[in-house]
Amino acid sequence: MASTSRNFRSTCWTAEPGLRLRPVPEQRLCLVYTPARPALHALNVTTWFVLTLCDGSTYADIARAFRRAAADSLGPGSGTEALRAALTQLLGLGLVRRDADHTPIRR
Amino acid sequence: MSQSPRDLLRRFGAPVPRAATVATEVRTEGIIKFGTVTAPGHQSGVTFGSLHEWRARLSAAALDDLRKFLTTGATRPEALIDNWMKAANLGAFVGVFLQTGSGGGVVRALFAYTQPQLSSEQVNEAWAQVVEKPKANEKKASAAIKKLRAVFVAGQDFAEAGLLSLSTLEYEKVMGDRGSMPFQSVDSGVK
Repeated sequence: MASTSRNFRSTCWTAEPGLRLRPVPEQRLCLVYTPARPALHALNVTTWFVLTLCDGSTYADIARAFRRAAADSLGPGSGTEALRAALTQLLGLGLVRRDADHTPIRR
Repeated sequence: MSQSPRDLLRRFGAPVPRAATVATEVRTEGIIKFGTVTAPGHQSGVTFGSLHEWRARLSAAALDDLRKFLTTGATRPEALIDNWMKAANLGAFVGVFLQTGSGGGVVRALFAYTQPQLSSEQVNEAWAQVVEKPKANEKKASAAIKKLRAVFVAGQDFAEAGLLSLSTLEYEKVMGDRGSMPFQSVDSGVK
């Protein structure tokens, strides 16, 4: 899946504008409402965390931040594949977008 | 203590990523008020003491489809079913009714039974025959009843119930039947 890998790596990731987040930390999830396409989505804590990293950063930056956080945590959602799965799900729900021409934010 | 996702990950570990759309319940004030309407054309003043009811909650689209189904054909589906019930000497089809006052698309189909001498097994056998092996002159009624049944079964909270006229029910005899009312001695003492 080299082309998919390039797609992930060569783009910046940004949360869609207008998302309304309602954290539910006691249940370790976050509810996200998309006003543009009225729907409510539930993100578990891993996907919620990845969404917070999608601020226009490159995949490399996001992966670095994810690894730093994951280094302190254990679990099946702490690996690189988990990061890609999270981004894929967020993209599928229309909560983030990829922008190849976007100037990345340097951390 | 921070409740950020980063801290939650640190404290509880990272689960497999999961993001899914939540099926939300939509409630509105849109209800159809109760009022009197014209009786369906097939009804002909049948008297009855027992009913059988199908009930289901339909989506708006399914409700619209059902209404279109019920209002098509030279002989409408309700009339086809009613004619068959009368010909089979079971009773009559009262019709399909929309529940009012509560919102949502709750519909009921009501079948009236007029022959007390018939056992429920005999009634069921008649229905099975028209559903599975309709005679030539029963095929349209068979198709109508099968379509109607399929709509109800596909709806949410599908349920069936029998309704008996309380004033004409042989109440003491029924309640005294230990085979079907084993808790009656307890139930009758509870106010």
